Amino acid sequence: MVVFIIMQLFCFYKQGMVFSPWYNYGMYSAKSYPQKQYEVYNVSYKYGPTTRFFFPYRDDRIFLTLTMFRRQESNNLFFENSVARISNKIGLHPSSNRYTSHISETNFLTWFNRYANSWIYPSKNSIADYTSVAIWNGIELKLADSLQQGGK
Amino acid sequence: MEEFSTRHRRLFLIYYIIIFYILAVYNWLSGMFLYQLQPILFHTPFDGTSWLLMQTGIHQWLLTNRAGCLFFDTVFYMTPLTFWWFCEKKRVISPLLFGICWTTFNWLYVLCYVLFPSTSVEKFLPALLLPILFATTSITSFYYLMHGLRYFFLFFFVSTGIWKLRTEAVFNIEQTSGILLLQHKEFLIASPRHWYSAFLYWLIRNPYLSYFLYLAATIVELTFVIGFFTKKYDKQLFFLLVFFFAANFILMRIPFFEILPLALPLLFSRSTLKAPLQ
Repeated sequence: MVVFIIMQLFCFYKQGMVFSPWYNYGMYSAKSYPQKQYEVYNVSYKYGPTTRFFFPYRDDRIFLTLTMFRRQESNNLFFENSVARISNKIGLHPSSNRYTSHISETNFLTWFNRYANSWIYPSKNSIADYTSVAIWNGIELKLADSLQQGGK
Repeated sequence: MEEFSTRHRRLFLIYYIIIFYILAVYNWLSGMFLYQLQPILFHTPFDGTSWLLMQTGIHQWLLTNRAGCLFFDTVFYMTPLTFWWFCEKKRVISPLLFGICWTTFNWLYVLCYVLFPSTSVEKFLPALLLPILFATTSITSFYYLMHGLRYFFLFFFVSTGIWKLRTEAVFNIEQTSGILLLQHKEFLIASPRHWYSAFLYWLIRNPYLSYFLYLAATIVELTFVIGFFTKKYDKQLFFLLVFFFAANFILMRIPFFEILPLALPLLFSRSTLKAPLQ
């Protein structure tokens, strides 16, 4: 019980670093406001919205994969800035190849287009093609591209 | 008050197995088994325990290794049923021995799984902790450990409410509008005319109304503090939790039901031991 409390207090104090199974259970506790614009993954689905409503994990696995690939470099930097730094302090010397990945965009897209094929139409040739900017006008969220085309 | 017995222990296990396999079917339909994720890349979480695991390189062994992933899935999803068959029904394997292996493997599976593009580790808390409970050989150990998990669950749920107070998010009128836009932006863009999008837009455009839902959710989370003082309302809390998760699924499209087995102690907490430890 004492160990549990100490570990949990440590995780609360650090507010970032955790030690499984001690976590900080925020569940949308960070302050949030509607933004003027959002970066969105713009994909064509093979299934209708009702099916998508019931299977949110199907969306998550596609979008998380794209996000994780796009953050590959920052993840690799995270090793230098956090994993190695903190581990060295306690006398551990982790090897970077265990914590970093180096997948090229071409290889990733070859794999991703096959992976995502069961849920979306993955016909994009670069990661940038999957992302768009959406504008929140207080009434509706609209793609910036469609607004520009509408304005022409 | 009813006496806590092996019947309760068995019932606890059966409830766990039923929930586990219903969720397994849902996860499989959602393409969330490890072999369906076909991981080729991973991230490093800010989790000291994961760092230790990653140093072994086992997560890299799973990359592009479909057979390895399938093996991990098979063991992970077959273990509860195997435990029930060999340890509870046939009683040919010691629950302690099986439980230690089960716990070790689940930790390995879960900590690897969440490194890949999948879901958050918190949803796997029952898979990390409940095998330890089933590893107990005496009814007394089971009883006390189950109550320990009950407090763990209560703490987990109440702390989500406390964080909302600490960050003052619960006093932010635009909180739910902001969250709904962020959470559903892809859905809103892809299907703006669907009934669900219309429902979301209605909430987003009415921040006071949607804020009320956030406030209600926070109050529900904080309500679980009652469990620290009395077990009298445990069953009501359990069903409140089921309602909360269902509402969460409808509003946020986040399936939190994986956490449900961790709340099972609430259904068994009112029974007492015949001879409690002094």
